[in-house]
Amino acid sequence: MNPIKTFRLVVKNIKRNSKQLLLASIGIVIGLWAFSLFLGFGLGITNVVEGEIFPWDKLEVIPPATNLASTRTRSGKGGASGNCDENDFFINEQPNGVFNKELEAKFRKLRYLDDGVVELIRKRHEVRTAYPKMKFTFPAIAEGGMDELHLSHPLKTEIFADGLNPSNLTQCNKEETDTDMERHREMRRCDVMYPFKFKDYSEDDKQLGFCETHKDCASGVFCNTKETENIWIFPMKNEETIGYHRCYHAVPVVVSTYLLELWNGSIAPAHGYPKLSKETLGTFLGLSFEVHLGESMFSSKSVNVKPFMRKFQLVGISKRAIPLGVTLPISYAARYNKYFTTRDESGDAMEREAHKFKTFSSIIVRVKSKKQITSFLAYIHRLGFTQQDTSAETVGLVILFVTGILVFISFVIIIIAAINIANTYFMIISERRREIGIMRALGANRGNIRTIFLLEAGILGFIDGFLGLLFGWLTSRGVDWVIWNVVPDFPFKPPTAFCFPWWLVVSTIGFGIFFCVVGSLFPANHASQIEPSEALIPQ
Amino acid sequence: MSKPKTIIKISKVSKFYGSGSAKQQVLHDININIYEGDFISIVGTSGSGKTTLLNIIGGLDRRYEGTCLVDGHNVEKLNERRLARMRNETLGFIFQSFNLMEHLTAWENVALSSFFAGTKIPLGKEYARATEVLEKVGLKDKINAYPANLSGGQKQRVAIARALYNKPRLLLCDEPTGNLDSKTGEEVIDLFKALNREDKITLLVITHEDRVSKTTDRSIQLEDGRIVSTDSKNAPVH
Ligand SMILES: Nc1ncnc2c1ncn2[C@@H]1O[C@H](COP(=O)(O)OP(=O)(O)O)[C@@H](O)[C@H]1O
Ligand SMILES: [Mg+2]
Repeated sequence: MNPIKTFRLVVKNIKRNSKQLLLASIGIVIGLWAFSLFLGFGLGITNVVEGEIFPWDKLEVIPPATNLASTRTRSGKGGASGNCDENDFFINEQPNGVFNKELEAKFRKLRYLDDGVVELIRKRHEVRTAYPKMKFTFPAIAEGGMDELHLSHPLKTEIFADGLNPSNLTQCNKEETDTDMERHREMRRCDVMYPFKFKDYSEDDKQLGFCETHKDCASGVFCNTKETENIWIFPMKNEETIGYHRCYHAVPVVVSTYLLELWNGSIAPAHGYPKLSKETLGTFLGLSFEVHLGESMFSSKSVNVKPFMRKFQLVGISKRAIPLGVTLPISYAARYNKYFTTRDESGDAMEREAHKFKTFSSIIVRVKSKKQITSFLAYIHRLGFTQQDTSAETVGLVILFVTGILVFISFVIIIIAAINIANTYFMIISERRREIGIMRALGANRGNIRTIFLLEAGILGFIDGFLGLLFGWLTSRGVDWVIWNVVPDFPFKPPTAFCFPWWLVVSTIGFGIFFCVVGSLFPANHASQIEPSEALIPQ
Repeated sequence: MSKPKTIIKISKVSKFYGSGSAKQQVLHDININIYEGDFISIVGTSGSGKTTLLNIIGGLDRRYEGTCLVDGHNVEKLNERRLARMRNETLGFIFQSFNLMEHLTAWENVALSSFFAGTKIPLGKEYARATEVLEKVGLKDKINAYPANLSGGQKQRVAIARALYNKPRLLLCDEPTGNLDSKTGEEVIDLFKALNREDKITLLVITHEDRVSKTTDRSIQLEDGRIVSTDSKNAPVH
């Protein structure tokens, strides 16, 4: 049979029975509408979750049972001694940089994340990037933002903080951007914008002079006016102090996009604070606030050494920042952690606590592809480490499950509709019985008759699939509009809650064709079996 | 004069309908030879088995006893595809009730057989061929008309054009004038005559009208499934 001509004939056939077929198709269209809409929604939500909330390719490698160990030490029970028994099992108890850790891990498990482990992870073929983080091992309170955010009272909150190597952030040093648009684009690309810098200022601070108040120092530079019990803040290499009444650069910090979302979605609307966006953040960059290191809102006596205050300054927004808290250059975190460790009589940090300021609390790893996550995790476990549970898997499973149920429901609709199509085709075939006889007399064989009906059903299915998809897409536009214009803001409110990748388009239309063809298979076969002499008997 | 080729050879064909006690024999040991170039009529009262016989000859009904050779092929033994192909290549059917597709125009009806295996009309020439045959039956101006807008005689002529479309060697006509008034009926018969004389097409016409059977070369009379006479007084000498 000639395909083009047959197509024309079949289209004429469809036109003739268009009302009947349209009615029979309603079920298929509704089913496909639901299918494309639900699946599109599931994919859209997954995109938001995997791309924004819990990036799929981002893993956080943590040392074994860190949380437990750090709580114990912090609560001052001399937790380190409690770990003595375990010392036998861990080889890098005393962290000492890069050496053959892989070899060690063959015999015993590794305990701490140090430079050597970072090196090992970076060498793995699954790994795109890996950067270490060091959390504060002491509490801290942030206070400020009154003027910048036009508030009546300063915000005061317990904060979490961690340290990150400045080289792991994109710092844009371009002096001037010509247009607003260019600046916006830069903002999106860069973690830290000119003129701000994310770096350790301890060397620069040595050049700064004495002061009575902040006014005596330059802008962005503050006066250390609060006396601490112990003024040494041990640097990693050579010791250095910020002396009493000395000017110092504010500690540069970046916050996470997650925090920004949380602020805009929940905190700002609830308290009537202004909203922030990465693009309009320009005015808020440079915002400085006081951080009381070693102080806690929950317990009055939390550290062994006297707390002190530092000015922190917001210099950027980054996906690499700690989700709820601030991220500062890792060397600050190391010095502060060292400052707050238990001291011996001479004032030196205890050697057994060295891991607090010499090893990392976690290593953030980006893998190259989703498929490689399993093999990478196996490697991590072999070394003796674990993965920080992000509950991404649980959320992903829930989405998958709900989407699965909805897709299943749409399939039930479609299958019932396919039975309806079968019914309609039986009717149509008994109506066209005579024509089948004529075509057979004109030289059509059984296969030709079957093909004509199946092709008809296929084209119908294509139309149904297209309509279902169109309605699904229109509905998704409507839902997006409602989300944006009616529903109040919530964190991670996406520009669209839907995703219609090409394969969804193809499969919706494909299922339309498939189910219409399957529905008409039985009737078409029946039609092909009709004896021509009987088909031609006048009714 | 050489002996003409046999195009249809029916020997000892019997046909039964139903089964068990309802079993009914409608054809009894029918023997007929039809030669190429024949113009034959089968006459008989309603229910005498004419249509049944025609369906067997045309391969539309293969549940019978005896043998039926069409163009040298045993209809019963051909596989379904070959048989369909033969219908397209060799045979043309014309029915009492025209059997046109109401949703197709005249020319589309005429060209319908071009969909199927065995078509002799090259791809792209369908419209030209349809026009040609429609012109032959005198319907040049009705090429794009739908059957609903045609008279009975015009409809039957479209049906004839459809049967002629693929250049058949044998036309099987089941009471072609049954639904036509006598004048248009005569026109159709004249057309058949011309096809037989000029185009050398073999014609087998079923009828119960004497005026039709009288115009044919040979007339076979069927009564209750039996041939009661083979009148070949008009037949040319073979
Ligand atoms: N499909 C059928 N099932 C049962 N009986 C049939 C069928 N077709 C025809 N008959 C019977 O066979 C006999 C011959 O019918 P038919 O060949 O149509 O006669 P004609 O064409 O001469 O009027 C009639 O008695 C008719 O009732
Ligand atoms: Mg009859």
